[in-house]
Amino acid sequence: MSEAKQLNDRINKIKAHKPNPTVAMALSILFAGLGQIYNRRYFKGILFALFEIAFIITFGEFIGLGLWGIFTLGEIPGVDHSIFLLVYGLLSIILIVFAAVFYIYNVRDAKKQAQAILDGWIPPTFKESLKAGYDKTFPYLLTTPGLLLLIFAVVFPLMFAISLAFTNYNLYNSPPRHLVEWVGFSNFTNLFTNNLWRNTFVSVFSWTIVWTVVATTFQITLGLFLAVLVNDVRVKFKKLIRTILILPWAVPGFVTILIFAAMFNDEFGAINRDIMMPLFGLEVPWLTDPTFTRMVLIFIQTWLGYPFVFALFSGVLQSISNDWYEAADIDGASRWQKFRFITLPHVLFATAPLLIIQYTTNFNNFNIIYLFNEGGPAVQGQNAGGTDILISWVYKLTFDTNNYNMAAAISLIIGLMVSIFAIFQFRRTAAFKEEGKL
Amino acid sequence: MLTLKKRTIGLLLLVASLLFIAACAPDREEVVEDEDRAEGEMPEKPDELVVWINDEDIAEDVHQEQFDRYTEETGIEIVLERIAMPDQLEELALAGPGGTGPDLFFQPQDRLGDAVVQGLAVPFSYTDEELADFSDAAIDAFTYEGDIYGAPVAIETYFAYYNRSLLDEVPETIEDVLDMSLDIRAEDSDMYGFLITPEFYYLYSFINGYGGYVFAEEDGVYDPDDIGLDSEGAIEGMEMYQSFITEGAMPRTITPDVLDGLFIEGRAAMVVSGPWNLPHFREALGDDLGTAPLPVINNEPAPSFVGVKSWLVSFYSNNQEWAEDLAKFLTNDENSQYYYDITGELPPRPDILDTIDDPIYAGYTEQVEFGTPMPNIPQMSPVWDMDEAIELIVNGNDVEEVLEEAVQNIKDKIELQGGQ
Amino acid sequence: MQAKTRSRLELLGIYLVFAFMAVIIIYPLLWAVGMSLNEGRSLYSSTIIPENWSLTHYRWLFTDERSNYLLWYRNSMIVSSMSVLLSVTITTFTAYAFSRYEFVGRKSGLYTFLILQMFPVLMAMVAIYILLNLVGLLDSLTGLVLVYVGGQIPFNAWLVKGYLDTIPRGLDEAARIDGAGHFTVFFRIILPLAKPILAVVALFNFMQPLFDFILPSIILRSPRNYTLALGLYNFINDQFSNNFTRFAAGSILIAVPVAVIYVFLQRFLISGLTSGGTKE
Repeated sequence: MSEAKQLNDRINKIKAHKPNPTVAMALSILFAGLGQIYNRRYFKGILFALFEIAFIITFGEFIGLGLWGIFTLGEIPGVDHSIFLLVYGLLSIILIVFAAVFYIYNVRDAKKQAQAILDGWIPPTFKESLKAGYDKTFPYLLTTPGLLLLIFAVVFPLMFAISLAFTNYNLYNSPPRHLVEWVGFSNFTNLFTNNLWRNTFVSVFSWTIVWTVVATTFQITLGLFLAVLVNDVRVKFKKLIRTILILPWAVPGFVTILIFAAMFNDEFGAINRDIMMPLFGLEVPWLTDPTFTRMVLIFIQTWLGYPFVFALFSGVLQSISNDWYEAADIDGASRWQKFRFITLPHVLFATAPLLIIQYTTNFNNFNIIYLFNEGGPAVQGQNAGGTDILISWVYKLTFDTNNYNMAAAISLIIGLMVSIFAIFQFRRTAAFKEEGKL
Repeated sequence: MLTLKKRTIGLLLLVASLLFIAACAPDREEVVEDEDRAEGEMPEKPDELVVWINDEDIAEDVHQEQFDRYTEETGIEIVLERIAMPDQLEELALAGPGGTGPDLFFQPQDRLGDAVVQGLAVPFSYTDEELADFSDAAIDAFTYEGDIYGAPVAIETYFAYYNRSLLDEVPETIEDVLDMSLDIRAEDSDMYGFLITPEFYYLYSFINGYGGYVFAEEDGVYDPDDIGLDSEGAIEGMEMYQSFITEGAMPRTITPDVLDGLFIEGRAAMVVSGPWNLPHFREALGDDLGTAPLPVINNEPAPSFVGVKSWLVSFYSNNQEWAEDLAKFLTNDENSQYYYDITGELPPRPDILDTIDDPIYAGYTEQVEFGTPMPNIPQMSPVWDMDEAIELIVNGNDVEEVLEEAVQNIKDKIELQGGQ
Repeated sequence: MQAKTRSRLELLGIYLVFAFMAVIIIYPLLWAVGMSLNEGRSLYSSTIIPENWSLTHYRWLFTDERSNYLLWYRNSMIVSSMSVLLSVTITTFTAYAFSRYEFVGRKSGLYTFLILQMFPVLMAMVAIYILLNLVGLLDSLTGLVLVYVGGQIPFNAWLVKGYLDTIPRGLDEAARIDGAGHFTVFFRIILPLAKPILAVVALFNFMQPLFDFILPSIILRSPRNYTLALGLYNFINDQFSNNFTRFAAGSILIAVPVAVIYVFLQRFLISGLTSGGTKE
């Protein structure tokens, strides 16, 4: 009896309160949580207000410095460190975006709830609202840790790289002696108007494309070929063969590349000394002639890369229903026809996204190029080695010559190209179409 | 999804708050110099100093002992951190402003320009007596725009090692060396007469021997616009070198690693290498090991690049005076002698050099006299691209063409890096 | 009769291909083992069948007081395990949300990050350095792990989501009707079914930090904190003490267990990948 009365009292009390949505909104804009308190959602209101106070106390000063820093990049050489200021600025912007999201939610919430109360909505009890809040925010709870890490490990570095592309940060403008300045698009114009930059870019870019296409296609073809062979019903010891074929994937690439580099040493490596010399009387300049180095690189990448594709295809092949082949046999299809019209479409369709990722990975396959011969051998008339791909060139610009600004500009261009390719391809493949929009 | 209107409100809010806060530049403390401190008087002792040494076992051994001595003398603890020498500048540029940098770090003089241009190192204040104890070459190597930036620890250059069991007599001129090599190769194709690593650092001897130069120099100031690596002398020198390859006296790909190995195994009669190999070579060859200055090139003793390694004081150090004091302590006579005793590297202090009587050092000490310091301006770093030109020359390309293009490239790169 | 001979010849051809592949695969690996057993330090004097068998390099790694090998090994194990633990947790949470819930950013969130990650940001290592310095995680394994975990989320979450999508929704909806909470459904129903793909994610995350040397070289400064890859790389990268044979020995000691794990898990790998990364 008394419980029902209590409830009734509560409802009456709430009904007596008629909040004005605009006032609630205005209050929340003034300070987070005020609108909620006005709506008599005390717990939420105080929580929001505490959030804002804590945020201002913790980050206020940092954000002030950061924003000043990112605009000016410092004013006094030796005292202000432009790069540190830039980083503080970017972090401040991230913090502000967090705050803005929270603030917008706070304002909308104040207005919405005021409106709802006017419309006769009975706010749940504290316990109930906690439960409802948990249900509603559950997916956000799940994704928040990941999102936070992503922002700091992926988005923030990317913001930094983008910023650098518009500064003049190189050896001669380095802090502490100098201040870095914003220079607009001049790095990009430089890249395309200065001869040495342009020539290097064009030649590195063309080799990068050749490298990506040839090496990846080889590894996919070899993987497919071997997978089809192992899948043949007549082959015995399948498990053993699979294990051996998968070995190059199992041995760390970092180690194998360095081992290959040693094996292909022109004078003292095993290939020339133990194979080429005794068998053919030849000493092939593996590491000193760009053409040979490129061939070896493609060979090694095929060696390293096919097992992944092989493993993938083996799995898919086993899942292709036999009915297809039986039907084809009845129609009198040749073996090639069966492969061409049943097997190939099946595996390619099923694995398309992963194959695309293979291409984009090789496009940025820094390790093999750098570890094998550091992008060498040298060629004349350019600012990069004969086997440098864009990414290894960027590495050299960054760590060898401190051309941070150009490295960043080139990285942006690479990123744009790869992502446009990827978006285009993802959209084309059925697997992604299913997901709807990108 | 937010509606467009709400997005706009949000954006406006954001911009407003941005502008509001952005106006705040940091409060700067007025820079107050400790004026009340008398000239030459030291500031208060810090508890500890952080020193970056090269990432080598032997460096740790020798410096640890020296640091202990300093602690004993002054009570200042020394924190030793091992950072590979080539990485130190890069690390310092980040760690310094981050507050985790060293007080003292260790660099060769060819990186001095990079350090000074970025403002990472601060000059020393030496008295004339202090300076008199160092050899001029070492001080010159660490002088930049009139200021001295380092306390030189070691001076080094490369010279010739030979294996007495394979060589009756050290060939005097480079032509003799070529003949000797061809003789040895003719006898046994697994043997080599003379080996030099195909790197600009070493081949500078050929270039400079015939009159090529890196940057024109006047009164210790280098002119980065005047590069002499494609001059007639440079071409002649590199052609001389190339003949070693084309005539089959030397293999095409030699790395320092390979060179050391061949010499230790007794498969090379004469090699060009630096003092860092002396202990290994002596251990392997024993009494068969001999040293000599480089062979005569173009009728003159061959020049070589002299490198000087030195302690530098970090711009970010809060105890620059004490860091400098430590650096001077580490390079005084007693500690320089100790450094030599342990590492076998020569300290650039004439008093100590005069006392060295081990005959194995004859080649080394003699060669130092003919050395030229590597240019210490930052425009030097693209010059190391000469390694690539050398690779091309080794592979049989036309020397003149390669060098001309290399120099053009170096000039372009200097310009690209903003060094002109 | 003729068909049978043809079939036999074909089979022979197939086996020949396998034999050829086996040689190409195994030769470099054997060669590396041979190298590590050579007495000398340098590459040039070493041979695949050493003249003087010797375990000096292995002994050095374990017993020499200068050797930090065991420390590196331990560090790498810590980094890899922490990274596996954290990333499997975070990745599955993320993938679960993307697969089963409606929320702002669900439609394009994952793909946006997948694309963003294709931008190479080598020069941004500097930024990561400054950030870690700011929060005091420089030269620490924790900092390293966090960067690794953050970087792997898009690809792996995408893989796991693909896999979870193949688990019928009816299962968890039934459980929800029976009153099971969000986490109960996740731990009792989804997780057990997702084991194969989790194995794949775990393996990827175990391997990646194990053989990356660039990021550690920026973040870790003291040799005592090095990871294996960085330490091993320094063996051969050091200008004056090139030590290929020691590198080979150190590498084999890590490559063998890794290869064994791979071979054992290959069944999981294949089934996980084919259902997570593909669409039928």
